[in-house]
Amino acid sequence: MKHRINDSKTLFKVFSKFTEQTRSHFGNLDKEEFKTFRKIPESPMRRSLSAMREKPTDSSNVGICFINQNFYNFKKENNERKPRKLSLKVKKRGRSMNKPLKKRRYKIVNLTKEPKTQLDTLEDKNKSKRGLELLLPKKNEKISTDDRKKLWSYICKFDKKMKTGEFEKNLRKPCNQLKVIYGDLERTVVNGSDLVPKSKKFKDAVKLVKAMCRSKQGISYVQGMNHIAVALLEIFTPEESYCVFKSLVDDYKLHKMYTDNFPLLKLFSYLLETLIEKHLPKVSQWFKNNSLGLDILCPKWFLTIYSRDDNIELFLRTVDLLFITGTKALFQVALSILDLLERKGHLENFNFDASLSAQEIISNTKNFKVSNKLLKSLEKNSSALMKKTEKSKEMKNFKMLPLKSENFLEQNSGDESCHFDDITI
Amino acid sequence: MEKKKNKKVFLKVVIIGDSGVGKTSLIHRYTSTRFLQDFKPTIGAEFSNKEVVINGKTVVAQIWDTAGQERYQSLGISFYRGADCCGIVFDRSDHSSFENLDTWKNAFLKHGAPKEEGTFPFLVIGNKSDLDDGSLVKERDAQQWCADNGNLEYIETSAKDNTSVEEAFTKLIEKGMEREKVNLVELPDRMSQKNKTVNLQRDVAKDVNRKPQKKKCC
Repeated sequence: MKHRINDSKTLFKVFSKFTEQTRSHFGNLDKEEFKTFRKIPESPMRRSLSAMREKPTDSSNVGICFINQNFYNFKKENNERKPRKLSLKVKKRGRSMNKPLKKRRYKIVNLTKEPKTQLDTLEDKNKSKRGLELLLPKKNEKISTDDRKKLWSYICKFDKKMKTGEFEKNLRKPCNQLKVIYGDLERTVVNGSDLVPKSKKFKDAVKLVKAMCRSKQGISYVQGMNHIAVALLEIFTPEESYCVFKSLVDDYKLHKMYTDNFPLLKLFSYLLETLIEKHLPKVSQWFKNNSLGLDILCPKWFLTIYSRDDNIELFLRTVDLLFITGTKALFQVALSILDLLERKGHLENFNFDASLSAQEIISNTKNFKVSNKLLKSLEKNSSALMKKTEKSKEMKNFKMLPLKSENFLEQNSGDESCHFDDITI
Repeated sequence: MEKKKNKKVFLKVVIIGDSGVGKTSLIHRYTSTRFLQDFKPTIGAEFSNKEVVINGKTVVAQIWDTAGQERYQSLGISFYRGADCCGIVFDRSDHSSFENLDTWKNAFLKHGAPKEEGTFPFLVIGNKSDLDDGSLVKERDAQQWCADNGNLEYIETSAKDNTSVEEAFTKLIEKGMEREKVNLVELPDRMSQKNKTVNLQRDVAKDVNRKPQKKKCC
């Protein structure tokens, strides 16, 4: 049975049927039903999508987004070919065959290209998720908890990650930092009250943190993970929360934030410093006048992804942004907070406990345009800069810890006790 | 010049020690005269200012609270640098935190790189004296350690009961002031270090404003 739908009203009806289905058993859409969509010409679909975007209820958009993605995946799975495009490919291939020289030149160019930076890989990962932008009609709008659950479970691929049983495996591995973890969780605040030891929440949190410490080679417990764990547990089960963290660490390459010497944190600290200088000269001046470095803020903000101040809403919405726009979201939020603090005149209050709301901060992020291109160029500069400072430090016979310490990490990866070497001479 | 105008002395006090020994509560007790049962673990570092009058001089003490986890050591460089005195805190009810005093002292000297390694003013603070169940670290042992490590001074406190907290910080600040008298040259040196970093950033800012090169066609 094949439909040809030309007017947008009927299309809308079919779509709304799909949204219901995605809600009930999303992810397992009936492939048979998709077949009916195969012959839909592209243009009316696009038109209807834009029509749907204008609709005020965002729950419908969630459905569309998933349909769009699933539709795409389904096509991919079945290796569906488009005859028209195929012919184009043949033409291209023929051209390149005629000009083998060009092919060679391409190779040479490729070789001389500079190696990929950390942020390069970040962006590549994000490109594949562009379709998800449909989900948020306006980036600054609120999403309900249910929608967020669906969105995150899709982005972080809960099904796939849960199948591997990694969470349980990680729990069985020994953890030598349990004393610190217990101590930290006992003094972690959730929604204004402490975690009660031996309560279910507390046990879940311990499980989650233990698993998080083992989520990737080189990562071990860092104070601050406890805040992320507790914030995630407000919405998800321990296993789901683990999947979210795993995806942050794997897909968004934040794992170097938690490895020894915090190479990514140092890079981010540097990037933020230059961004502040560019966007908020007053704040930059304030830091200089007080002879303070940004290293007071960065661990607190980036390491915990803004979850430290018991402001779970801010954490969730920052991660939303992170999933949609990529790493630059972290910087935009930082800039936004500093801007608001500066405007309100209490810049020295880095903890912003009750003074700023998540809505305020997130909606202010749109005032700061940070492109991934800029971040990349800054990253290149930073590595050169660090080399310079390292040299000057060596002259003074002082050990400076390397920023892009690829080799350093490889040497130490998997060795839990290596951080003690930093202290004992 | 500024110093003469305000008649204020600026001191940087750094508090270090194992995680959960009560560094944050000690500082909080001193700066805001309150005790909160639970503190979030400190991440990176925090600081608070307190103005006190000691020996007729107004002192602005910038008290730095650092993270206790060993892993944060690698970030400690910038927090320790330029410190005038350092308090090493241990938990008297937790013997391992006492055993780590060595590590902390060495780490501070290594990362903070003060000019006089031998005579830098340290104060060893044994916190949580209120938890007396007979198994506390004994004063004798602590004094012995201090004597073995360059005649450091030792004080026992309790942030909960507010015993000798004020005294401990006053001692620290006094020690820092003594050192300040000897090393007045330290300050401009510190300033020049800051300037160095600023210059480097400016270079980068110029690079940012430059138009990015167009991508070559493959």
